[in-house]
Amino acid sequence: MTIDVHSGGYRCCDGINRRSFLRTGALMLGGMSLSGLLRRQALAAAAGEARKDVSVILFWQGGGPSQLDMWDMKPDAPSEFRGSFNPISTNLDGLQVCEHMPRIAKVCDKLSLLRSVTHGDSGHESATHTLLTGYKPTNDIPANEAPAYGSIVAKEMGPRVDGFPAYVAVPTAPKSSAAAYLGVAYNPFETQGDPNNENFSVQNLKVPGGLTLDRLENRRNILSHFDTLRRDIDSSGLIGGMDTFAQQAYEIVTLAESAGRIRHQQGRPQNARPLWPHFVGTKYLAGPPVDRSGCAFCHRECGRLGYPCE
Amino acid sequence: MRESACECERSYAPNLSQILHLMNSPELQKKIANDKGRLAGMLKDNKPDEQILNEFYLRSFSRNPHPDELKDATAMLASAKDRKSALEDFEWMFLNSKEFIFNH
Repeated sequence: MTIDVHSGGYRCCDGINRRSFLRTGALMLGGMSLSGLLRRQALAAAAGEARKDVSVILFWQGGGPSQLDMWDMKPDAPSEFRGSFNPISTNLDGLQVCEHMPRIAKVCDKLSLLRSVTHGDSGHESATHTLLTGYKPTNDIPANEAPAYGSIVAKEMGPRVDGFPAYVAVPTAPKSSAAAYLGVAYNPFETQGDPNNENFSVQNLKVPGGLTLDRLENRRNILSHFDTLRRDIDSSGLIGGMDTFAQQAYEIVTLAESAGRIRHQQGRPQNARPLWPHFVGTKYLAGPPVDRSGCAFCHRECGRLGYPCE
Repeated sequence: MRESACECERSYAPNLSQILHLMNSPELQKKIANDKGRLAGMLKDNKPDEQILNEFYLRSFSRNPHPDELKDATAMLASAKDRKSALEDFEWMFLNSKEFIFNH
């Protein structure tokens, strides 16, 4: 395991432990299933309990196409400022977009376009930090000095379905998209693979061959009995974060197993994929609704070579 | 065209993927249960539980077990239905423990 000793500054936070404790309690009430979770949420909704619900997909085009070639053509600017493409009219009066986005042009009445969001920073890493956290970093190649939006959502709102990571990055997360002083527990979970690939699946969700969920639970019981490294001597908060991950990992595996069983009973292929925010490629935007996913905030890398947005 | 924005953007902080790998990966499970693995070798040599546990403690934590640790562990192993599986579960525990991950 590689641990970053340079960034430092992580602090553990009360909220983590309290929530982990509550979840542990709930899990102990007898092997919670996905259907059980959904039923509980439905009951809460029926009882009129307010439920915070956030669902954000951030398409992060690091090194992607320029706004001059997409959203803000500046057709009246001198030619040396304009791009080489032409603007077209949209279904929203007064708004023009690039000629290469004809389908976007038909739904512009559904969009909010912020042309005022800007920065004067030509450094990739520092500008990424500014835009993902709202804070200009103090170094040219910054550590994650302030929490990213997704981490704040993860801490304040939690996941949309219990047991999911609240904050997911597809396929990977830039350094600035992390939780900084909120603690590593609110860093994004990276799916690693690209969900648009046919063979995509999130690694290590299925209990490996020869093991059962019961045995995994037994292992966790042994672990909690014998792993007594003192948490209070760790001022970095990393150990507290790892405890949260261990709890999350167990919950995700439990969810994936029960969802796999449900799908198997329905005669559909056994595969953890539909649990995951595979809609985050644009090709899925018109397909399954966002509420198929349990995460609240999804950071989608799509500007880099190899992870194109279709 | 750049392949990625910058290597320095990669994060090496501990994360959920690493924990999932340690907890639930087929690779690790295969190694733990391997016929030619360390545990299989010690079982073949008819080593008693106590000696196997000592070996695990030294190899993963670089220390001997405390007497109460050894007492609890041998009691748990004695009551296990399947000795080999139970010892595998202990091996998993060592690899997933904070004492191993953070100290060694």
